[in-house]
Amino acid sequence: MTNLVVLLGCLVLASLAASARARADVRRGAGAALLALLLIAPLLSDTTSILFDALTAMCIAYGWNVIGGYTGYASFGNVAYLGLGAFVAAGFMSRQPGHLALPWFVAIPLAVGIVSVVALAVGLAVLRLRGHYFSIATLGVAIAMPELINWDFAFGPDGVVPNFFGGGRPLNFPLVPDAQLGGLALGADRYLFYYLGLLTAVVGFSATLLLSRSKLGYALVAIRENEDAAEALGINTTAMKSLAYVLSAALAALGGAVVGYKLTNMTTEADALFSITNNLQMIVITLIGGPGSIWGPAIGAFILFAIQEGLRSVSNSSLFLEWQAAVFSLLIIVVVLFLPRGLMEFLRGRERFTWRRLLRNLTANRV
Amino acid sequence: MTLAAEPLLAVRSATRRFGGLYAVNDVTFELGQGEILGLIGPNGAGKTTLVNLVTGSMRPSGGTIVFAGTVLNGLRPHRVGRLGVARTFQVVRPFANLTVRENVGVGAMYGAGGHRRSAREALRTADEILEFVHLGSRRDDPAESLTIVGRKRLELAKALAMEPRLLLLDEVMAGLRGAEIDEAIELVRAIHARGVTLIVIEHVMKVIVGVCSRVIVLDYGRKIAEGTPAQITVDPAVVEAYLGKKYAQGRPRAD
Repeated sequence: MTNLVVLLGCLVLASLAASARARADVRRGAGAALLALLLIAPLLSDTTSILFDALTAMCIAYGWNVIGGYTGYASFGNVAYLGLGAFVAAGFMSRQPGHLALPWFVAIPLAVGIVSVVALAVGLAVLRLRGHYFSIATLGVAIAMPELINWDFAFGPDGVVPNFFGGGRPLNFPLVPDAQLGGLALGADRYLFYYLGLLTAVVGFSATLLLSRSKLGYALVAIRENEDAAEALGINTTAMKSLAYVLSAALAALGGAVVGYKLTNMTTEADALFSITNNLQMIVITLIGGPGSIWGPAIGAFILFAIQEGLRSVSNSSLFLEWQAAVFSLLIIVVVLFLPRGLMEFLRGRERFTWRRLLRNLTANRV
Repeated sequence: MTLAAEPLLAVRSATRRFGGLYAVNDVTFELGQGEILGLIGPNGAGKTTLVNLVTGSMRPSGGTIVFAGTVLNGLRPHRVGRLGVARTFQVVRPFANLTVRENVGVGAMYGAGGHRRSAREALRTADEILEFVHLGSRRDDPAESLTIVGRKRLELAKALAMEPRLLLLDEVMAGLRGAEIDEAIELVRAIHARGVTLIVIEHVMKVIVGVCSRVIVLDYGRKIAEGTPAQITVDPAVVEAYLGKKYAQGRPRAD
């Protein structure tokens, strides 16, 4: 119950911070209060698990927002980088024979870097496509990636990097000895993971804030609005799209690596990290909140996980988890039809919330 | 007409084929620094295709295009843009969800002068240009809220923000009426006065006669005439292209 209150409190504060109608100092205050609330949340609640899920999902959604929201290239393949980030970090952290047993603060940034390089190579290929063709190609990437990490030639028992991903056996990486940074004990694992999750969300938010004010950010929006006109204005669209794709993948990998670390063991055979549900989740979060906005993924994540927590506390069952994919799919359809710019549409100050407005969006042939 | 020793733009035997169709066929012309060149011709004559060849939106099938000593053949549009060639689109293409100011700002960020500006400086540059095209009062409105006249001005402002040496205007007057055309002509003259060399594609002859020092006429992808506005309006080949052979024979010769 506490978590539901925290999530709803976060939602209110984030909406206030995002609202164009609020005064500038009120907005800044709300942003600071949101951060403060998230910082003290583990003291208020015994189980921060759902908050951790919300914060890492937010980081991953911020990643999708860069390519799908700002650049307008709907990727269905970011889950590939989420999963790859988790497995590469796990491969470095594992204490099994043949692994480096790196501490998390080395392994996770390293994994993000490696995934970025992979994403650059993939991006240069798939970004030659536009519109639906790009989306379909990225779907292929999502399907290919779990196969790739099971590839015997590279990662099998006699592969180039033998059993780097466990070779089908569980990949264990003990967490307790790692929970120290510079000799400072961070306390129970629960705190370590929670604050790591919070860190990913802050990184996702900050990266988006910087992006939206940068030349790169303007270039991406120009590409979304009209790629040919953007190119004529002197924008190297290929380079800018590639940067967007890499940044998008890096945030997915960061969130994925932290999610994976909390699992403390995983196997390439049971690759739930690559599941379609994870792919849908980042899209639905971004779309509910508002694609191409700074606060959209935060608002979307708080809403989605507040719903999830609310249903769980009411029905006291895993009803939501069982129906998760169906609920996500339904939400995507409803939001795209009635609220193509997400809830940010009403927070930007130009439009007031009316049912008529929702119906008008349904008939407007525009996203 | 005498040209400077080094033309700003030299188009030599430019050709663009679509299968068996020659959209632009062996077109040659030069453009001196500070000129305003008119480019006219009936619908489908290849005017926009020629603009696309110069700006890199399409690769020429043959011929060479040289701008300020640089061969443009095969360069992508953004490279051409950064060298100082800007264009407007016949169908105006504002970035609908950006404000008027941001639209122009993107041009200032990435055009010929973009490398020396931050995003914030580029938006300040945009404000100056918006005053120049009389859109200053609309700068914080979304671009999609502009009328057609406003969108044409915005299109010009975006191109100007790139600090071009050569600006290709693809039918910026289309859809404008009497007084609006006069204002637009004034604007073209003001742009020229800033030191920008212009190629003007127009169907409105009042504009061509009013601003151009020299005119090239295309028909079926070929250059059929070149001269001052006064010369080409009485050129039999031009009259024939627009009105048919009967009218061309019935009119007195230019000389």
